[in-house]
Amino acid sequence: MATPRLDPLPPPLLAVANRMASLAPHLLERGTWRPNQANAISYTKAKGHYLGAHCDDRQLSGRILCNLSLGCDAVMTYTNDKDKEEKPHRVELPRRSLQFQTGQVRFNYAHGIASEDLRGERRVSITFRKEQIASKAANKK
Amino acid sequence: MELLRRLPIIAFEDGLPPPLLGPLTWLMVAHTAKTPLPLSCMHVNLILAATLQLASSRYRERLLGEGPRDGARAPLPSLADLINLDANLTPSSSEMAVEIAGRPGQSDVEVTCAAFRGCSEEDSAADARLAMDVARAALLRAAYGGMGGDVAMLHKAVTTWSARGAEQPSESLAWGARLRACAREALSGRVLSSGGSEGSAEGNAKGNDRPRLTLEDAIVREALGGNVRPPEPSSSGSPRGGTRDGADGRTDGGARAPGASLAEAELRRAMRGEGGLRWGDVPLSSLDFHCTNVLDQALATPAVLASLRQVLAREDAGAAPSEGAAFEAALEPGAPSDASKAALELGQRAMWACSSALNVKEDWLEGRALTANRGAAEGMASCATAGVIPPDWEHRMAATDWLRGVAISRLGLTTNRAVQAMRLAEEVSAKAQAAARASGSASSSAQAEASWAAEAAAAAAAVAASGEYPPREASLLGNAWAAIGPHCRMAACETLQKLLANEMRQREAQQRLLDAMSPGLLLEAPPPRHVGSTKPEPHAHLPGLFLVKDFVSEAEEAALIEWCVSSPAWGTRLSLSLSPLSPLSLSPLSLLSLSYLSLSLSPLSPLSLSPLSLLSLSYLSLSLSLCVCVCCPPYQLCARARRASRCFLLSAPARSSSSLAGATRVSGSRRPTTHPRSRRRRPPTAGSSPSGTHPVRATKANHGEPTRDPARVDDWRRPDWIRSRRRCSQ
Repeated sequence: MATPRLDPLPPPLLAVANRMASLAPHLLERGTWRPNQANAISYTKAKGHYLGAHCDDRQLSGRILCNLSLGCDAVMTYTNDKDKEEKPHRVELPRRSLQFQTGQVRFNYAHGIASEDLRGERRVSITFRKEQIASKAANKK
Repeated sequence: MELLRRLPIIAFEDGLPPPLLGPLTWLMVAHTAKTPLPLSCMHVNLILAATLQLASSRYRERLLGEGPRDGARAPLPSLADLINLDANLTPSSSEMAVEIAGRPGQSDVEVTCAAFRGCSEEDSAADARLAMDVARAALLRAAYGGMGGDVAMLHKAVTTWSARGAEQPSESLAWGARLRACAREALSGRVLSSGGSEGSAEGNAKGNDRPRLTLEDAIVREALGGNVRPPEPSSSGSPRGGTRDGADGRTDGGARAPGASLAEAELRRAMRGEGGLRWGDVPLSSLDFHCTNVLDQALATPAVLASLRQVLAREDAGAAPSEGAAFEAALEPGAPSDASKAALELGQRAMWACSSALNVKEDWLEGRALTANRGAAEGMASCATAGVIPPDWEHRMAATDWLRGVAISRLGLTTNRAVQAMRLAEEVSAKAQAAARASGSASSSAQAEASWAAEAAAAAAAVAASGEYPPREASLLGNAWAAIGPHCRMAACETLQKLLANEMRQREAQQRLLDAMSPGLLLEAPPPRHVGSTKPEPHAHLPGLFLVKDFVSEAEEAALIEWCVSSPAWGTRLSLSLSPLSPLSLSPLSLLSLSYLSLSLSPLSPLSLSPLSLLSLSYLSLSLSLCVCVCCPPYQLCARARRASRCFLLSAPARSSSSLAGATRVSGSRRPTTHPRSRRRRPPTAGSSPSGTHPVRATKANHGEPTRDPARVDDWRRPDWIRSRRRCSQ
């Protein structure tokens, strides 16, 4: 079976990832966590864009998610998947901020952003993940 | 988007198709409402460059079907025809694939540049290739629809340009080179010599020493027909410092045509918003007091007021006393607001009456400018020699144009254009009559000429007599607009210039930021001061959630957003991730569609009706029936049916086909030959066994000892069978 081809992150995103690793090595598996996937999404409030409540794939997307918010502030809503009675948590995501999702938040809480929670006209988010399949393929090499 | 859809139509309707028409049409196709393309600075530059070419062109093309070649109209080719016609002009598919995908070591910019057809080296078929590009672009645009007249015009353009692409290159009608020359002339604002600037190929574009092109170079090169060389890096290190004056480009021959360098400089300056727009580029018909304040700006100028005062002094004798006094009062310094309103009203009336839409561009046919002061005789002579147009075609078309202009002008232009149209019609009529006299008898063509001239003269006279404005008012408004119009145009141009300059300055600042970032601004620049000392803050209630504020600086944020937006795969990634039909979305709909697609494409699909599919279908149906049998044995069904109908259909489970057949027979006869009670099994005993219907039997090998048949020991149906039988017997 052919192993998936791994392209390195583009230099700007690689720089962000390096800064991320140097800033919080204790959160990123003692500094060994390196993202191999970056996903940029643009939200335009006028078009009604939103992020539906979801939990990233628990196997494929790894244990750590890092999300960089650009463009405008937003409010992310976390809801507990296992305890439906727990009230949703609204978390402010200022622009130019970085968010780490690990542990319980990563696996037990769904997160989403309603369109009305976009505090500006346009928000661009860049989410860094360490995709498990790709990282295994890289280790085989 | 509307601009992108409208520009190709304007190109054929009111001007010459610019050499950038192909990329422009591609942009129109790529940038749709559902999947908008994030337009980068270079995309905007491309649009601006094409618009500048179009607005600066002095010519308007006569398409087939509008001119004297009406009878020679060819059928509309399809896109496939155009591709086939172009087969010998374009690289092979493999070469094209390499060109598009890029060679090892090529940067994205170089690959993008290679996508521009004009960036390839010029060869003998460059004209034909350009013609096919224009024809394809017109056909593609026509496929996107629009007003019926526009689509018909685009079809004419397809016919015209595809015919040009199929023709052999001709020295007398080198329209391709002349089209480029027209574009260069329009951009440089000067007349070029016919053979001085085109045809110089850039030989060293091949091979490894190919100079690196930026996308801006590609656009300029495409606009100017491949006669541009990428700028040499300047000593100051500025990436574009050497192209500011436009005098740095060279051709391989060591000398660049002066017109080309001027045009390149003009185009590059226009793409940066540096003086590319001249006040003459703003047509009067585009000014309107309803949506601009150019009239107010013009009337605030003392020179304009002085000119208007002179006009009113000349026209004072004919103007109404009260109106003249109001205007005079309005033109005095420090006039009251009511008087200013009167002056403004006069300006509005003059603008409305005189700036009506009228295409004053010169005709252009088969590479020749027909009604221009320059080169008209030469163009007419060559076209007449080639048999393209009749000798008096210029007069005829000019007269028609004047008449058309008279018909659509609000002011009527009774004093100028109608009279000129009548004069031209009379000239044609006189020529026709002279020709008829010379030939001795009135030929049919001479009669046709005479009748046409008479009709034209009558139409011109009718228009002259039925002007919308009375002659005196027409004169007043015309003179007033002559005093105001140029200032209005200049004010509009300055406003546009300012807007464009601001916009382009912002875009260039972003571009500089991107240029500085691409080698690794974030890699080299230190993080914001507080980032190093800031630790991720845990959330108060959500375990595992941490936040770092101000992780990037504002400049880095802007650069990252611009980098993301200008990424070429942005739109694709976004559409793939958002489309529920995309296999990448892994949505149920996508999986369903994927499975349906795979089934439809497979020979196993019932839709294919192949033997294999029929076999698989029968296998499937058999499996299904077996599955049904296993899940719910038929005797249970029969038992339930029997309980429902209270009749004996089957008394026992059918172990074999014979018993089943027997049972069927039973069901068909009034008196069953095998009553279920008579087939009651008894428990096996030693030495005796029912014949072949019970899993326990005696065989000779074990000397009468009852043994269990291994094949029937695990017969799971036995208890059910017994229970069923008991139920049947009840």
